[in-house]
Amino acid sequence: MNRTSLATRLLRRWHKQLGLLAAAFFAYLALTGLFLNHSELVDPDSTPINAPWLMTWYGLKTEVPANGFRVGGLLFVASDEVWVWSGKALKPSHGQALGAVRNADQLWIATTSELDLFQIDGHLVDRIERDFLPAFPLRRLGTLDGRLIVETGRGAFSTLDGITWVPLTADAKVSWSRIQPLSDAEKTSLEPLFAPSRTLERIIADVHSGRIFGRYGMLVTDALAASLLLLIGSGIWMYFKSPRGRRRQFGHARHHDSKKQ
Amino acid sequence: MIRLFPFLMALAGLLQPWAAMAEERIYLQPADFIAAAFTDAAPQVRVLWLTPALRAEAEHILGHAHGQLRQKYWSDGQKTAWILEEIGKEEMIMAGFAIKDGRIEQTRILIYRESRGGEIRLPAFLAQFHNATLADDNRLSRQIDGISGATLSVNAMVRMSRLALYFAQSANSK
Repeated sequence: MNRTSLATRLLRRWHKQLGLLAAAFFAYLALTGLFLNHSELVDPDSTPINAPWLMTWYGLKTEVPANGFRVGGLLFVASDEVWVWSGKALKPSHGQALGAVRNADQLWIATTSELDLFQIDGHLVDRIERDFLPAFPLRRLGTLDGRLIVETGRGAFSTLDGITWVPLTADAKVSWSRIQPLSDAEKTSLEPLFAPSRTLERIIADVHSGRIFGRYGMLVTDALAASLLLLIGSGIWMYFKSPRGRRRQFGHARHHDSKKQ
Repeated sequence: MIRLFPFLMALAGLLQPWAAMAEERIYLQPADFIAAAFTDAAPQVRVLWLTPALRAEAEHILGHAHGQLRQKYWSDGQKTAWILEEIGKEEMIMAGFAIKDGRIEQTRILIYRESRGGEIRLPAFLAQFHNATLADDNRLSRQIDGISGATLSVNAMVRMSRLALYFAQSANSK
């Protein structure tokens, strides 16, 4: 047995063993990749997953804000990602919540860059973006004689509907919304609503890349990817060294030679 | 080697880094869109309250509930302008529509927040919506050609254009 055929035999054995290992990895990549390509079909609502063991694995903890706004005996509490009004999650707006007031059957919530109008039951009525506020950024939110008041860098303005704004006189006695500390009992009751979550797509993406297993998970994925490239290389080499591959190679060469003649 | 090419391409696809980080790109401020849509006279801000019937049709068009109970729009008596938001894949896309005589006169992408698919802002794509009207079942009167890699954003844009035309029709018939 010459050196080349010994090397080919060793490579073939090594290729089979590594191929078996890589097959499982390839299947795992293919399945997670298929999900990522068609996630809108599998998980159309991007349902958040907040299984405690998974969130612990991610290193995420429940963080209830220390403060909130008391509005007519009800509580509005906001973090960057979650808004909670009277024990019900609202769709958060952009920016940091800086005030919440109740005006008849309306709930108004202001961030520095938006003013949001909800019904008391939490249904969104309208979002008023910064371009359509009387001035920007907002600083405070309050009420005066049944009108909503916003304070901005260019003075205070009043409105009934969030559409038409009137400048407010400087000496008006506005009842401003103020942030207040939450009691321990309030924080405990809010914990389920502020529990961290991830969408299924994000979790599968992390599985796909190995990121879910941390830095070493990514390195293992990289190593397996490199082994796939080695398999491709060895497979190509063995193909052209095989009698069938050689036949094809020489067949093509003969074909070209006969054409030249 | 040629036979191996599809396999290599599939492998490259599987190994490619996934999900670029989404960021907010503001292409045109909403107020600037309104100003550009009404060059002759300053428009008035008006409100279309979404009755149960309007909400049901909006849900039919969008494929999900419309998030708001009222919709602001701008009107000079002949033309109306609408600023709508719709989810592409994960994030909201904000677009502006100017509508006259039941036809889309002008449309722009104002704010784009998805990580991919931002090509829908390009004039060549948006030009397809020019003069589009509502057809049966509140569909667009014309076929909109998609953009590879931006399918969900294109679909969101089509849904918003149908909704803008439907809202404009409802506002005019008030």
